[in-house]
Amino acid sequence: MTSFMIGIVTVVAIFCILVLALNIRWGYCGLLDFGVAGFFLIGAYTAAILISAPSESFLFGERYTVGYGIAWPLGLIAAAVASGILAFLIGIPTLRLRGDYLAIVTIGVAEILRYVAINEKWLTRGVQGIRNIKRPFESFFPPASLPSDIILLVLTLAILALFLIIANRLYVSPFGRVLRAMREDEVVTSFLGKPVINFKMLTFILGGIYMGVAGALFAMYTTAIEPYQFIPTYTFLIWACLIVGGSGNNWGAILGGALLMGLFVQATRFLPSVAGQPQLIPALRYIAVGVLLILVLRLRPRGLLPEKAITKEIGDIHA
Amino acid sequence: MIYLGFGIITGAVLALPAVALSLLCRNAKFFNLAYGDQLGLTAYLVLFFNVSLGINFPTSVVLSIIISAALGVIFYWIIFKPLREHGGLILLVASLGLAFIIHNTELAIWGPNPQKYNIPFEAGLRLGPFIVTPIQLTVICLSLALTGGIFAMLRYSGIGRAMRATADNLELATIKGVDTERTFIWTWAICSATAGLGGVFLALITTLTPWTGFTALLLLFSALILGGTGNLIGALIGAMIIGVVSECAGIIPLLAPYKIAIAFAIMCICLLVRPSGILGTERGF
Repeated sequence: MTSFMIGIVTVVAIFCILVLALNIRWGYCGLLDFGVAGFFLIGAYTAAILISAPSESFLFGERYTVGYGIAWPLGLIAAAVASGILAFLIGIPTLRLRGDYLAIVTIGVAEILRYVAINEKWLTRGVQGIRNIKRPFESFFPPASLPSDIILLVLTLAILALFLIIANRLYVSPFGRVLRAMREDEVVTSFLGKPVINFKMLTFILGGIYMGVAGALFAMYTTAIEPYQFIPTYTFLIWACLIVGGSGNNWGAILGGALLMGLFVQATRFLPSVAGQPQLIPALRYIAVGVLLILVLRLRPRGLLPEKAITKEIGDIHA
Repeated sequence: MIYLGFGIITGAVLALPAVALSLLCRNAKFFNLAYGDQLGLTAYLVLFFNVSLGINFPTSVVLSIIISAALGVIFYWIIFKPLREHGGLILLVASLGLAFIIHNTELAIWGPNPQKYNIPFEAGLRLGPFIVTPIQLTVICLSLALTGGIFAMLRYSGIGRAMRATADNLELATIKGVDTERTFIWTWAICSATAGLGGVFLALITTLTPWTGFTALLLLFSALILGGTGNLIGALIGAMIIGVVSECAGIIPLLAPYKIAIAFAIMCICLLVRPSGILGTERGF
């Protein structure tokens, strides 16, 4: 039971990192990213392929070797780099256009990456997924033991705290001020001499790095990943978390993630499933999240913890 | 040649919803992500009337399209009209929420397995180098005829003129005495009905699963952006290009699973080279 609770807290914290990343993109800068699942997938698969020990498998009569057995901190960094590069590549054609185009391209790229994960069996083992992903310090603490779970929980919470501090510092920094100015009025900001597209690109890449690390942690948490874990539904859930919690406010993002992912999605997992219709309860759960998202947009568009209105900012205006 | 035939069929079937989606985006001023799932939902409604209730196929199509149009107007009233003041990006987020509500409704009621209509199987006809079934031929003809119908409506009917005026300049249209509210309702009704019909056509030539709508949405948006958002003829051309190229790529086995990726690659190249699309204007929609 303890181990189970630790597991839930870990996975909710991982999703909170995703909500935080989306908050930096959408809440700070107004970048409409509908490809959260894609960045998450890149992070998870990069880490999984690098960290897991080499293992051979036979699929349709052909032999594949997946896994490099690299140390986990390197896998974590590689996941961040891969996801950041993906963000850079998506940013090139879209960030100089209207925000809507970014939304369409990200939603498509996330889906394409999932097809790649399904079809490129030599790299990802297809729908079988990658199994036996190593956890941190596995030689000292065997997997599926309580110390192993606790170590991963501490690591996840530490990264979440670090990311939260960085995000909070970013919000009040001159950089963050430019981002918020761009969100409110892009034309005026560019007239003030700010290179708008560069700022957008850096924000988009930073969001990608966050999501990649979250993906790597997720791979280490589940120790087995498959393409089905990265369906667009997760993008939609992360958006619901951010809108409900309050976009623009990091604590709102964390609250939204904890409330929706922790209380709602994880807790309703124990509802008995209807005989013969295993998809009914999850589908109803997502319908409820969708209704909640639209209700919050209509009745409380700034979320549970709204972003603080700007009264007067101390500091030099000329920065 | 078979691939080219499939490409033309796919392009012709995509053309109708692509033109309607372009019209809707132009009037409502946002990309409606719930459109694809509305396609799927109507196809499932036909399934309900046709298979569960045993009504004959044409009647169930008509019934479903009426329901789809009504649903479009209801969505406009309760979701998109009140949120319009917050701007296009919030409307996009709301439409994502709506898309997932519809998708999961399909999943909850009909389950994840592919479904099939209760219509007789017919052998293929030989037309020159192509082989088509009578159903495919009917679908292509109807799709192209109705696409022409949309253009005719916009050009010659009063409501069509009002739609064009509202899309061009909302304030000016209001000042000139166009009933813009009525125009919006008509736009949503017509575009939703067309979406429904497009969904039925898609279900007829491919399979019907809860993911049909989402896949179609990605293809439709790549067609829309490729052709130039808000330009209806552009949407038509975009749909044909996307249909033909993504199906013809099936010749290379390596690319066969990546139809959507090819459609998106074409779109991204277009965004790099000519962001306004083939026929679009610099101003966008």
